Amino acid sequence: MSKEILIVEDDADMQLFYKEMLKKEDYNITFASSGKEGLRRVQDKKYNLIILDIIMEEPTGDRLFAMIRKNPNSKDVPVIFSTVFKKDSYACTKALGNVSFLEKPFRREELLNEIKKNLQN
Amino acid sequence: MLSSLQDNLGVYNGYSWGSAYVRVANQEKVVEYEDPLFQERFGNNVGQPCYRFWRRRSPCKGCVSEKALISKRPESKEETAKDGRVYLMTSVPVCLNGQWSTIETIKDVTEAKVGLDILQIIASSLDIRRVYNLISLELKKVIEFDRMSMTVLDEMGEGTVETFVLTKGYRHTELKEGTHYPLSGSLLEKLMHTRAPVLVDDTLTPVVETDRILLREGIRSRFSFPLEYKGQIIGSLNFGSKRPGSFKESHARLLNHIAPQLAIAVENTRLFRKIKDSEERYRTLVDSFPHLFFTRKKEGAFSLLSPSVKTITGYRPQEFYARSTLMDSLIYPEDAGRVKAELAVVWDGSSPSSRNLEYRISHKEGRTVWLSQDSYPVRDPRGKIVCLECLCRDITEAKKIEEIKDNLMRDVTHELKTPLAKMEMTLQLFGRVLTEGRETDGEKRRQIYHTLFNNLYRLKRSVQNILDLSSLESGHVKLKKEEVVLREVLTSAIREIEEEAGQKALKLLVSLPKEIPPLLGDREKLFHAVMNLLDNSIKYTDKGAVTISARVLSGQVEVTVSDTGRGMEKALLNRVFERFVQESPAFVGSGIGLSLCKKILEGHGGKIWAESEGKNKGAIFHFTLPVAASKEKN
Repeated sequence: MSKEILIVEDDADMQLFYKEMLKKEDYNITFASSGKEGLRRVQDKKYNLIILDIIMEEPTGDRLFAMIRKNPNSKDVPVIFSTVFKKDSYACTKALGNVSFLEKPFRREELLNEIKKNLQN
Repeated sequence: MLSSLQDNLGVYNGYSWGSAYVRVANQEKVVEYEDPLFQERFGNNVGQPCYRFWRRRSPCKGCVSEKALISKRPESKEETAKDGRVYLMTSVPVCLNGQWSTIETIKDVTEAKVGLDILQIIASSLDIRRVYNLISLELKKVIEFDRMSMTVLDEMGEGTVETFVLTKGYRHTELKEGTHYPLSGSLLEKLMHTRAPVLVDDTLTPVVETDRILLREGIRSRFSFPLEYKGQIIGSLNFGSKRPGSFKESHARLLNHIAPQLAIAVENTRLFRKIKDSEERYRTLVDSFPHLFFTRKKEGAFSLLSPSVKTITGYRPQEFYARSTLMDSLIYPEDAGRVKAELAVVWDGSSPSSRNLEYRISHKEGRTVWLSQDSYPVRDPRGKIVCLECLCRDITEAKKIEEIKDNLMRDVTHELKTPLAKMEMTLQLFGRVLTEGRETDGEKRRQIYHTLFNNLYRLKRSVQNILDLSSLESGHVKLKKEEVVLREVLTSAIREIEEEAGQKALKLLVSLPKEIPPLLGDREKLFHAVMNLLDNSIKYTDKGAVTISARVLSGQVEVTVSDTGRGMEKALLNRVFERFVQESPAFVGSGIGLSLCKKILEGHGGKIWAESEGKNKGAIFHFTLPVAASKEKN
């Protein structure tokens, strides 16, 4: 069965890149265009992996992450933060817990590696 | 036989009985003998009742001679005579041939008594004024003076003298308590050289310079006695009399007794005053200190807490004294552990102090207060740390600014890096398409082109905004004042944004009046402002239209940009423009465009405001700009 991946990303261009990079992979991709939609989706369904943009309208990625961790459906789901910020920058350190970071721009291989690594755990 | 006693005593005529007078009285209290010195001073009282000496009409109460005759032992008693002088009476009973008589010695002890009383007075009070007044009353009994003063060497200014305390009677002179005058030429200066009392018998023949001044004030004789403390002359006790020759060497003997004690009292008073002054200064400092200062014992009790704690925490110092755990309960749980650990190393001595320990507390009113605390250990004489002295500064404002700066930095980074990242990723996609050698369909090519195009423009505008903002913020670049045709600014901005709107299939509806009066301003900056506004509307509108309209009002023009986009909640309406003053931004990624827009418009004397019916109900932005004063037509 294909792994379910939720990508919370408010930027249409970025959604396109994800689509392009993952189209040949055996993943079921669901997009959420806002934090609110992302929250609704994790409440509805259990995903194997969540990729989160940080800078979005409320709830922002870091706040959504806190909600994801509180939600029984998604509290153990691996999360990858995808952001233009460096991993140790202010915006990222505000996020909670031990999570993976994927710095934008990323190449297809980097994305696939990060996804594979997180799905193995 | 009595006469033989008299004869015997007579032998000693001219002998000084230790400065006492001697007389003999019989059982009937009739004086039978008086020594010649007695008679010289008080006249002949032989054959008179003994109490006549006291100018009494009846025997004295508790008469010592009567007592002595009963007890058959010498008796003594102090008596104050009508002239105010004090005499020590000693009566010795003698029996000659069954006849009892008394030999009385009468000694004038006034001065010794005054001296003793004065010593007692000095010892009795810390209030030098009170002491001084009582002393002056005592001294009046033995020294005839009209006024008395005490001067001390000024500790602060070398070479000046301070008038310390005064008796009344200085009304006509300029000398007041606390008056400073030069040491040079003063009596005190003379005293400091001679270290001996100075006596001026008559100011008509002046001894010291100041005698002339005193003479004008009616003072004829003066007497000054040095006050010595630990081998140093610290001041003098001064007397003045309207009569020449009021003061005698014997006065010096009396003052010799009391001067050292008085000097100590003066020093104590000055020390006390110094301590009180410094305590007051310290108190004033602590009271008016804006920062929070406290000392705290190991178990948490406060021993000192500055009143500023009320402003900083909202609680009164008493509340902390009463319940020391209050402070700990105010600290944010997230910070409490760190604070405790940091202070623990100061308590156990492994760190000499703790500096700039930053943590948050909840103010009584619920708001967050950021503190930065410095803590220093206080040790007892054995070196054991007994308490911590802590100084806390309220750094909430600084933290806010730091946060705003961080947010700004984050926004700027985001605005610059996002389009760059996307362009890079678009090119990667394009590269893959090329290497895969596939014939790409027209749709994909268009997509790649649009993404590159849009992000390049977004990047261009972001760079422009950052440059505008930094130039406006720095104040180095002033807005130009040229004639601006607003219609032209609006249409060029619309033209530039057309493509982006078209890609999102948004309609651009434009309704501008044919004639808009010219404005005075900076064309380029106004163009940026309008661009930002349009850009914002297009960014947050996914379908529908963006409408740009304008109308001319009296003295100003109003431009309205309305969209059918995401809109916003009422609470955000004002905050969208306030990127740099708000603690947390309206929403992350709202960017700096709208704030810059507001800055530019307000710089032109204009206004900007937003309206929205709520989330997903579209937004309307209005701005007004004053038009240039119309030129007078000739």
